[in-house]
Amino acid sequence: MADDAPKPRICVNYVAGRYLVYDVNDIAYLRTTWHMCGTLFGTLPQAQQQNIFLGLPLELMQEEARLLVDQRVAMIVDDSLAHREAVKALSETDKADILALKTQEQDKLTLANKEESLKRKEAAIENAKASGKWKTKPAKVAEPTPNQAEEGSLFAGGSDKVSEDVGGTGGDELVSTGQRTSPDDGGQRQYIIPMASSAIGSHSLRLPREAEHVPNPPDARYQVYKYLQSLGYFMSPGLRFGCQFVAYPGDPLRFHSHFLVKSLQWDEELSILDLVGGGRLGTGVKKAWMMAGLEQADTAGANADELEDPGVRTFCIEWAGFG
Amino acid sequence: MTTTAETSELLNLRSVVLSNLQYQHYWTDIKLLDTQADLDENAPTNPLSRPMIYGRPPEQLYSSEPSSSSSSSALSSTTTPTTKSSSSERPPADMEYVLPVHLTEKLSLRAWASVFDNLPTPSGGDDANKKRIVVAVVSGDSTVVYYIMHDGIVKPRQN
Repeated sequence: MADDAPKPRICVNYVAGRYLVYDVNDIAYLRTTWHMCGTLFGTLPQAQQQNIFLGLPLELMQEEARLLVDQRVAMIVDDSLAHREAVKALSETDKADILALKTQEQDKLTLANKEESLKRKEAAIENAKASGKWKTKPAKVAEPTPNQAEEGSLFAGGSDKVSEDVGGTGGDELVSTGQRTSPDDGGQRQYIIPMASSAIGSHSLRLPREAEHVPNPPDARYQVYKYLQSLGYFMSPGLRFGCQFVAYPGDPLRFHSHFLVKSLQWDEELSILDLVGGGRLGTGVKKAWMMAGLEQADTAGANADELEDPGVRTFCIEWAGFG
Repeated sequence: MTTTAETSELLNLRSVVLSNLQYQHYWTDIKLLDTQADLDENAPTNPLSRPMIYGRPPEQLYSSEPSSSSSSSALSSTTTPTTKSSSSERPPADMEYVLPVHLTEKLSLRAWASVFDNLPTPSGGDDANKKRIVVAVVSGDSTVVYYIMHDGIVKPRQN
């Protein structure tokens, strides 16, 4: 991140109606400069229930994505389109090159695995010798090959899917070349699912192009979000406290949140019971309940729509401590 | 704007809150506010959109905390009701504006804003331009609950 050069716009990836950030540097930048924490929701693909802490990608709220677009800090990229276009742009030689690269990686891995299992075998034999059981079961230790071969075929079975995912529309060709170029020891190969799928070698698998889609949160919410964000508040989703946003006065790692925010249109009616519920809940968790909205001129005024400075107005509610 | 029937309803609501404040919560110096002139002597005698009550609670309801030392005392005075011994030493609590509302009402931000816009700006203090009211919510069985509402962003007391 150069200090002087203008920062290139961040890619906010639009995937199935959600706004995701994949790059950890972008996430750090958003948090420090734009007071956006988002929500991490990535899990280990093989063991979704085995990790306590979630990782990449980071999901942004609609309001956050919109603000970044409005400020020209980020652009929305249609994720599936970005991959599809990149794959279309690849030439035959590119594809062959990618395949060769992948095969090379896989061969390396196979070799490493073989060496490791050989070592393990030797260690087991040593162990057996040391404990004096070597004589009784030499055959068992010496013949793990059928087992291994089975494992190999298991991976080979899944291989079509993996290469199809990488290849996208041109997948069929890739697969057929793959079978031709791996004639004999293909069964031994382990297929690698790459962690970062944006490129293989020097071949980009994504063409990030700005999408026409613009995040469109409800106006009352967006105005209130923008106002509090501009004051330096860190906003996060309010589900846990039954509100729209939870506002932190600084980084959530350092501060407790202060406000449970509910945005309203200027003339939207709110039942007193909602106010009481919010106020009582907020006070119970040492916060205040806030209702806010964009101020509109009195409709009685002649030029109601030519309001000069329509600011957001906020009201904070707490239990009074009696009654 | 309001019809006479609505006005009398609001006045009835206020009388419920008035007796609750007086006899259950021991508020003193109570004054009824009906017109803008009741709030500010120089203002015209236009009736307020909603009648209000002005009074003094037995203990300070809310302290804006300019320094850290007073914040801790504000906390203890509002959260522990057992600190009555030193009441003679402490200055009297601030006067508060009370707005009676009924539980079944629905108010918009515009309505809340107009209540605050009628109030005089409090003088002195760091949060000088932060107005506050006490919302008294009356239910059908005449239970009254009280909530503090601030105009603007005010940090919660316990945080």
